[in-house]
Amino acid sequence: MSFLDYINYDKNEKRRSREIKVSQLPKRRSGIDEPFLVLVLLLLLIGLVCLYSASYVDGYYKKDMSPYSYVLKQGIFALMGLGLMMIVSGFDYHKFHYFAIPLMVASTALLASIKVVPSMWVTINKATRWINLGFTNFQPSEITKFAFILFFSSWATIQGPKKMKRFMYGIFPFFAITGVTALCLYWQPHLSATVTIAAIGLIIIFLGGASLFWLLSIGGVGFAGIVGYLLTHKYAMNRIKVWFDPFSDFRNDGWQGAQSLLSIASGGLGGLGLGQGRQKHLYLPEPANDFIFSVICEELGFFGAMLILTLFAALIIRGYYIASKAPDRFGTLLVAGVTTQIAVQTIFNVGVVTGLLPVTGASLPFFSYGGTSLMMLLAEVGVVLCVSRYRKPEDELRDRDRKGR
Amino acid sequence: MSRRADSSMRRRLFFVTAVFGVVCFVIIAVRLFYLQVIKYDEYQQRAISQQMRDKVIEASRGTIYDRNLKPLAISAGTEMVTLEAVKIDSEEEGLLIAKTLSEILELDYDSVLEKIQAKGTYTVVKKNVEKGVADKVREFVKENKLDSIYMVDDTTRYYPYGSFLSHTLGFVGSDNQGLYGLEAYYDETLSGVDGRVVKATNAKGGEMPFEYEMYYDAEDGHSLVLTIDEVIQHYLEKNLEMAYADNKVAEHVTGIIMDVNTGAILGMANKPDFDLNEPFTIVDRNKVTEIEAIEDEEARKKARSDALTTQWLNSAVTYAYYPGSTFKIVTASSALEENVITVDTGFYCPGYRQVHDRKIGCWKHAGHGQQNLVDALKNSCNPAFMEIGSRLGKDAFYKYFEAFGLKEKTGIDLPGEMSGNIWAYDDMNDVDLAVASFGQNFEITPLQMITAVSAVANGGNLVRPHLVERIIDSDGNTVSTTETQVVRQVISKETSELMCDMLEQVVTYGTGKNAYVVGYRVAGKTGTTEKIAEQIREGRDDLRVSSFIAFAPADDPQIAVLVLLDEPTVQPVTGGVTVAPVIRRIMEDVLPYLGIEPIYTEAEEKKMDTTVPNMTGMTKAQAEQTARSAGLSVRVVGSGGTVTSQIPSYSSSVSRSSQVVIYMGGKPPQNTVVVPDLTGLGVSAVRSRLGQLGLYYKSSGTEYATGNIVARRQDIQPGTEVPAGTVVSVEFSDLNQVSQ
Repeated sequence: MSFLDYINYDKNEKRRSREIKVSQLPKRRSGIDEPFLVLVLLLLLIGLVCLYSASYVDGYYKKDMSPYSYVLKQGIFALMGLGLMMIVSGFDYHKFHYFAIPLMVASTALLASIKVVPSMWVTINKATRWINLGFTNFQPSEITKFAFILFFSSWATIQGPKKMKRFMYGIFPFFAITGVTALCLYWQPHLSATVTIAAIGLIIIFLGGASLFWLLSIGGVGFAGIVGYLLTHKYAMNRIKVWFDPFSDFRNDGWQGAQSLLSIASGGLGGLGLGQGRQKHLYLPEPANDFIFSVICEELGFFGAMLILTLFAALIIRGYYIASKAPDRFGTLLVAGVTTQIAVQTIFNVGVVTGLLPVTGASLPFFSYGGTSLMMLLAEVGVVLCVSRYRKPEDELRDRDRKGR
Repeated sequence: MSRRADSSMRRRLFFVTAVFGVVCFVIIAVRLFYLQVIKYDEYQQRAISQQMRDKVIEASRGTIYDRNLKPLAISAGTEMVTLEAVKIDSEEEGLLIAKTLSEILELDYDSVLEKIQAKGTYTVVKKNVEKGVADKVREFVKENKLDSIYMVDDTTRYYPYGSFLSHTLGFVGSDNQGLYGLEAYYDETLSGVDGRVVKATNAKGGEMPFEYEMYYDAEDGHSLVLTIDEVIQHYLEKNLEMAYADNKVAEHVTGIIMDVNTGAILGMANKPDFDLNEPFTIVDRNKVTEIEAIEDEEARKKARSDALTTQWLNSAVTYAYYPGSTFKIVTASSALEENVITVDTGFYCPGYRQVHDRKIGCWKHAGHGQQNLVDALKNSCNPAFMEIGSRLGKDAFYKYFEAFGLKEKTGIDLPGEMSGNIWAYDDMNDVDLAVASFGQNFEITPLQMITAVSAVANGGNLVRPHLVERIIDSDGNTVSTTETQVVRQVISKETSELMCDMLEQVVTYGTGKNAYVVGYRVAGKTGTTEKIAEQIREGRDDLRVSSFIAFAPADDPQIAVLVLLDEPTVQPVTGGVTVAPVIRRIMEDVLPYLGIEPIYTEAEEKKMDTTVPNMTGMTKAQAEQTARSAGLSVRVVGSGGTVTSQIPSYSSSVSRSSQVVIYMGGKPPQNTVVVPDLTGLGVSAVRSRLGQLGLYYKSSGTEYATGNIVARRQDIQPGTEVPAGTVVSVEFSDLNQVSQ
């Protein structure tokens, strides 16, 4: 039984580690992937500059803040995150197998604590997403994202492609665990995190070999379910209507979306200039967070926005490239998971602010204000860099690929 | 088994890379291109328009001055407190705001709370908040760091004299727009052009640090200088008020004073009136009770608005009445001008006149017998005027009716003016002509009447009445001046002079006797008409409109005065008894004010009141000499060497031939007496009653005329205790003047 297998992981892993060591481990350790690191640092730097521009107005208008409040705090977390990144990148990622279950259990317990010790949790804008650590608030769902990456990578590795094809190994655990997590997140509530987490898990089991037939049929059923729900619920239909035309309900539900579109369009080709945006003056909601990309579009224009998007696309492609060059399935899936997280969050965020997706709060990686999420993100980048160190030189891989065929 | 990514995984990885790394980004890029390039113009315009905020700079509304630049309506800078309730953070904050604002602004707590809970983005909490109060609100806002309360500059119209000139001045609405009277007629002139500032603002309306500002200056409104003289208007209102009370008038009284030569209105008033600072408060308490008793809400609302409309009605121009005998001035002038009669034409009045099958009576049933034109006017004889009317004929009557401007509006600068209402030419028959000759069965406005009579008085020119003398800009420069506008010459100068002379006789000797002013030559005509339609409707026969129109001086007419009482209820209610004394009082006040010197006849001088000289310290002989030269007799009390005290005191004005008591040593008794009710007593009775009590009197009115002269008013109310020697003013009227 594979579940038992999993519980007896330690025993199995020792055996496997041996196998890996013998047959799979790269002959020599190459350096970390520099293009990926450079892209991350570039995005982080540009992100901080944009955050300052987007947030100083908000800080200025708030009673107990200064224009620098946001960017200083974010800068400190960025430095801490970079340190964490360097530390993580130095590990042997195979050891991460050991944390797959404990981290999953711990993060789920943390999420479930909202029902056990609600006093620990902090509510902002009707959503209870944060645990108060005293010096800062932190989002447990950020941990959950990595817990998913780690767990499903590990699971898919252990089960192997053949078992993953079967419903009980490939699809069922994903739905079971995602279901529990989704329930916990529903209590917060936090839709965008649920979608991100589900997407991460889904991509990993997809890469891990889950049956396309099952994925497509379940995807089809899910899609039909969502459409059915929308058609039968007036409220939901209204949300959809506002999504397609936010100006139809400009003063109320459409406000956020409409203001975002106005900001983006106001930028034109060249933008108003860094710091010169007008919409952030209390028109745009959350200019330092969910709608930071609207501010960027307004200030840097189409060209500036495209430059940043290109950097993101490059980072994502490079991420998947690193994944494809990883020495083993676990490495591939880990890197693909982290890259998928960055991709999903980026696409989700930009999709929302440009009106391609309905409005839900989703943050833009490296840009949006948020200490724990930035630190977690950089730590995950550390995982990618860690895996990248074990990559084999190009030619060697190509040779082996040929042999494989 | 390979632990490395197998080919299936790499195929799938490639697919994921293609979707997340390329396809999604291409879609986003296309979308961005669409928004930032294709929709750029449209959305950028929208964004700019929401960021730019227009702030209106209210133009200051012009002042309304009287002819001597006394301000009658002014605009004061105030502030408006507005609320952006969506910005209120918590319920407690909302409650605090409701409590504090309702206290500072003296508003109802619940209504403020309601505005807060409505969560609007812009609500006016209170308009017209004075600076001091606004400062308190500002302090509260600052203390609590509120971002939901804003102050907006505002102006308030303020009428320093309250109800003064109310119907004519009119008032403004809550946005300072003229709603009534001159404020409405000259609204455009007064209001000026608002300016505005366009500037970039953040979503809360605060300033945005990016520089964009455009300023359009406000153009302040012009000010009006009226022809109304504040002093004359005051005299008019005082006397109308008195007439309204004395005669227990059921409807209203109206008075107009006009410069006969220029058409300038010097005074125009109606009573009851209302406070211009509270125009929406119903003044009549009975009416308020009546309205509150109405159950149905719609009906109550309607009753309220009807009552307000009535309250605001300027009856001088928006009310028509049967002019009655005052119209005989027009009939006589027309007939003289057409040469169908002369001053010597004789008329016989048997007490009625037969017109076809109708027998139309004179107010004096016994008839006036043989009269000439002056007699007919003095007697206000109806059959004589029916004769004049028939000699004039329908064509000429109609022609002059139109020529005197009675079929058209006078064109005065007030809104809502009415014009006269007479039979269509083709419908007018002989009976109609007969009754029209003495002013019955057709309606004109009081202003039309006084304008027509002014034409008779001023040499024959119909002038256009007006209220604004000139318009000045905010720096005091004259923008325009109203020139005298002669509409047409209606009658010749000769006819006019004849009429002036005859109408003076009406006042000196005839039915207008009670309007006689000592020292002045007043001409005029009485008028009393039945409100036939109302009488029929209400089944009564005692509803009257009493009026009197006069002008002075008769030899060089300057002003015309019309006073009208709609439904006086103290009998007798004829113009000669009820209204003539009002005219006299007004003339007594206004003519000296206008600088017209009185010229007394010898007889008048003898009878005039005299001023008591100071006699204290004189010897008895000196005192007697002094008193005699002032026309007073002396009674001596005591036997000292010099006068120690006198009654009445020095400089009191008393009736000539009164007796002064001088005390030679010792003090006059300090006793007090109760003033008796003198009304209804004749002159000698009044004199002896007061004499017995040790009181003095001074008279006004028709004391020295012949007829049924009785006291009508006294300045100290009956029952008042006063020191002996006090002077009581008594006003006499000739009660015989009960003609129509």
